[in-house]
Amino acid sequence: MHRPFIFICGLFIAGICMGNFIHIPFFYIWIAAVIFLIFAARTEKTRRFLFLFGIAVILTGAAYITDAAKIAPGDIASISTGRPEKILLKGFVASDPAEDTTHYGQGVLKFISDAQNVKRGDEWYEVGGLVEVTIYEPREAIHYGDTIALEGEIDRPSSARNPGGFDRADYLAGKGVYSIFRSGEQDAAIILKRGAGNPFIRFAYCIKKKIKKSIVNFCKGDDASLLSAMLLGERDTLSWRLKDLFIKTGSMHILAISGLHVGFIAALFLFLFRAIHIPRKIALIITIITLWFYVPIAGGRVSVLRAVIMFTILIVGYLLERDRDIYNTLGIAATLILICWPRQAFAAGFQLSFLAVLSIVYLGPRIKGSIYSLLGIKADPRPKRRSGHTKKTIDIAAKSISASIAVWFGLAPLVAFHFNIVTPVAIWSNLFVIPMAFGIVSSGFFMVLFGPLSNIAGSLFGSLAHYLIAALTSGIGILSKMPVAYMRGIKIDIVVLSVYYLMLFVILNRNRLKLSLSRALLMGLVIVNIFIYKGIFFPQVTDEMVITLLDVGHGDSIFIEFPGGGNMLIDGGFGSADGDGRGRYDLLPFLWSRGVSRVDAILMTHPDRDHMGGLLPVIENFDVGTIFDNGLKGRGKTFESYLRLIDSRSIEHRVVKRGDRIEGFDDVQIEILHPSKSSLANRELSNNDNSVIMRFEFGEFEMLFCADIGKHGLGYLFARKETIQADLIKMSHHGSYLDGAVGVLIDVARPEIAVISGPSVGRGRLPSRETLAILDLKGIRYYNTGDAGAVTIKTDGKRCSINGMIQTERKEVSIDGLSG
Amino acid sequence: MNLFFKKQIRSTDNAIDSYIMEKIDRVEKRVLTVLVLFALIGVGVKYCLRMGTAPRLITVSSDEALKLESISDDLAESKQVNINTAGVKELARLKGIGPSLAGRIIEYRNKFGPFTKEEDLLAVKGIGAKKLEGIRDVVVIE
Repeated sequence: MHRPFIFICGLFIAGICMGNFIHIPFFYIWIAAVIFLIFAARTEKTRRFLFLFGIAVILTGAAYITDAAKIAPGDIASISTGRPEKILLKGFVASDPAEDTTHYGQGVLKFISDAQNVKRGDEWYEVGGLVEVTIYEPREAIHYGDTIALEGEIDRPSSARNPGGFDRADYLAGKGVYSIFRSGEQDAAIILKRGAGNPFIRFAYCIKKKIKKSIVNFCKGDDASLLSAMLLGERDTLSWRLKDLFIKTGSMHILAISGLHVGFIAALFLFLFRAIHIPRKIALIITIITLWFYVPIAGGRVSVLRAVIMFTILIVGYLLERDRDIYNTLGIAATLILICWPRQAFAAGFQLSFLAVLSIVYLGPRIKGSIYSLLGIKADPRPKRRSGHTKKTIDIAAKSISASIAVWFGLAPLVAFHFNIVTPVAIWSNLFVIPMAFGIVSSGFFMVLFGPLSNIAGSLFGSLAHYLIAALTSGIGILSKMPVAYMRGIKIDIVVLSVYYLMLFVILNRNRLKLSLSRALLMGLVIVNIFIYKGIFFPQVTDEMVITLLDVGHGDSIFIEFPGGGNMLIDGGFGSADGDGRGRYDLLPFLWSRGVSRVDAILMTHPDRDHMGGLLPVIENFDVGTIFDNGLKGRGKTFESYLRLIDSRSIEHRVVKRGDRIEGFDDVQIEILHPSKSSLANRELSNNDNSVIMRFEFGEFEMLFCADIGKHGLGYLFARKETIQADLIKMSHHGSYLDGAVGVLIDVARPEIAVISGPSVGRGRLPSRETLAILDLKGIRYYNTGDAGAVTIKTDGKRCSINGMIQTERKEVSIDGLSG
Repeated sequence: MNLFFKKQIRSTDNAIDSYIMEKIDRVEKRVLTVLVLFALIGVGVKYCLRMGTAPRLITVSSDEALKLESISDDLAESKQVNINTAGVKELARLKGIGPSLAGRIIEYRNKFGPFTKEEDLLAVKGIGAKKLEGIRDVVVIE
């Protein structure tokens, strides 16, 4: 067979997909696979063999994913009940512990542990499985290979708390980790044994530490973080601002150790070995060995593994004097990785890593051919040695540009699918970024290699790296500001994605499938038309109103999508003047994942940082129609930035007070109930007591939003006997008891359901126990974003349903039956 | 392994064939079958081993339990803070005690000498009865 591993890999992946969505018990799949394999082995005819063998491979893939999907009964996860529980953990440190600091300045250590024993209550158990351990303010240094005993809490990792958020549970499950363990500052931790574990990995981690020391020694601040990312794959220390620039210019891939970096490092080593006259074959073998040490140094991620496996195959193939075939090599690498971690087939990193190489080798030459024919240049298949320099440079330029274009066309839809962003500028930025990356990696490489021997050499290379990094950063800064450099809020579903790749394949293979270019394009046009007309006759726009209260911890952020289109954002969670905060981490990905590019209205209830701060990144990144607030001034830099942003983007800024209505969203009445002229005139009232209170009415659905209003503010509402009756109420101030005013509020408003936007119960003072007690007493169902994750309310004006992202119990309510 | 290259396409029917080799020889067939067989055996064994496990309760007073209990004891001991010799960092770990209060404890120690009993701690500004109760278990006076 010419390329057996494309066949095998493709079918194996198909089996993984099939096994993931159709659940059949492991035994049946396994037996079926064995049976088909036996039959295949007994056939003589090629076609029949391929058919039976193919089915066997598919079934094997299904078997692998079925195995990976089940948690072993002996896994430590079965000890955990779903709520955090105090236990003692004895385990082996199976990864290189990563140091970090929390938002509050606490030191944190994170690593994966191979669990051995657990003490719960008075009993010790022997267990297995992996746990992600986090230790706050560790007492001593912990290294790979240690055996440790810790006090702490075990829990299950949480999945995404907000739509569009990061699913930690899924990410960890992909690595075989199903539990998390937290050891606090006051918890005991002792090291029982040191220095066990795989000696090669220990050596690799030792080298990693030395590399880190060199980096910190010869580089300052931001340079050190960037160099850590590009040499060691550690991206956690990078500032979000810098990461954002890389994302916008489509250059995030140079921050992940992959084929490029491995290639650079291999080339550098080979160059060094040649310089000291080591014979080629030995140099190649040493390079392979070094590359394998690089895998644990770079964190063992899929992209490094793929690159190193492929380089190994390439070099071994060369040494054994075999022809090389990149497709087969890709297939082998993919199959090996999927055999160890079948779930990686669904991971963005795995998909992008392989698709990138595939695009370059498959699309690249074809695009280069098109460029040549467009320019009317005849491509010389065997350039003579003395062909002019111009020809050679044109060739290199054409190859680079076609590779960049090829990667873009191959990857853009997948990137849009996973990250809701399209970056047209990537085609150009990569032509700049990749050579710069080579320069930076090389400087870093020599700095790390020669630094320990000679301080001067180290500083020299360090400065070189510094200037290159500065150039790179300014470069991508400029590129990111170009028109249509990137577009966010792009939403692609899997059907569109599959059709795109199908069409691409058909167009590129029209010769084999005997389709003329015109016929292939016609097919494409027909399919595109189907999608367009589907959009017109079966429009996405529903007659439902969707209200999403995001989980932003201690803070509020509510996004409303109106029936008939249009949207509104009430507050943005916590944010600081420099743009950091929950607003950035939770709100932006949520909006992008919903395909939002324009926010029609923003309402800022009051200028506290846990409501207004998170709006700053939103105003920066989205088209905003109108901003409403209560006109009161906040204190500090965050509020100044708020005003400055509104001004610089020329957004209409309106002040609202009692009696105003926000118009423009058909069928939904939005009435402002507070603050009033008299409450604003009262100098004694706090910011909270003058926060904007609103009431929404849609058909028979009524909801009251209480922002952070306190007892005194409520007094103004009660005094006027406003119709503040509503079916749903967003409780004030993250569930605060408001000195008992909560009781009066509930009696006047008579809600059926209450929603609290606050931290998890028990974490702090809020939500207050008394508030929850009153809600229970009066039989009002409540949801707290801190416990249920983002709370989504959907209503068509007659019925409404409400459910939390994490609590999956859906509750349907008919509003007819609600107290009116 | 033999490498056969694709034949000329005669019709669309053979288009698919062009991706598949004309012949796969017996050696190749055997190798491919054995590879997949190994993969299947591997996953089969892995599944059986994994599904056969369960958290094993260690019988109290067995040798294992004794070893583990000594680990429990060691953990508890490591938590002990000698209030007379501990530094700021160690003291700041105690529940309810931050860096400033830790500093005051040390100041008091330097001024008035070592503590002789737990109640002496109440003299330090910021340590009340409630806080003392919270740290009583881990504090040791020597």
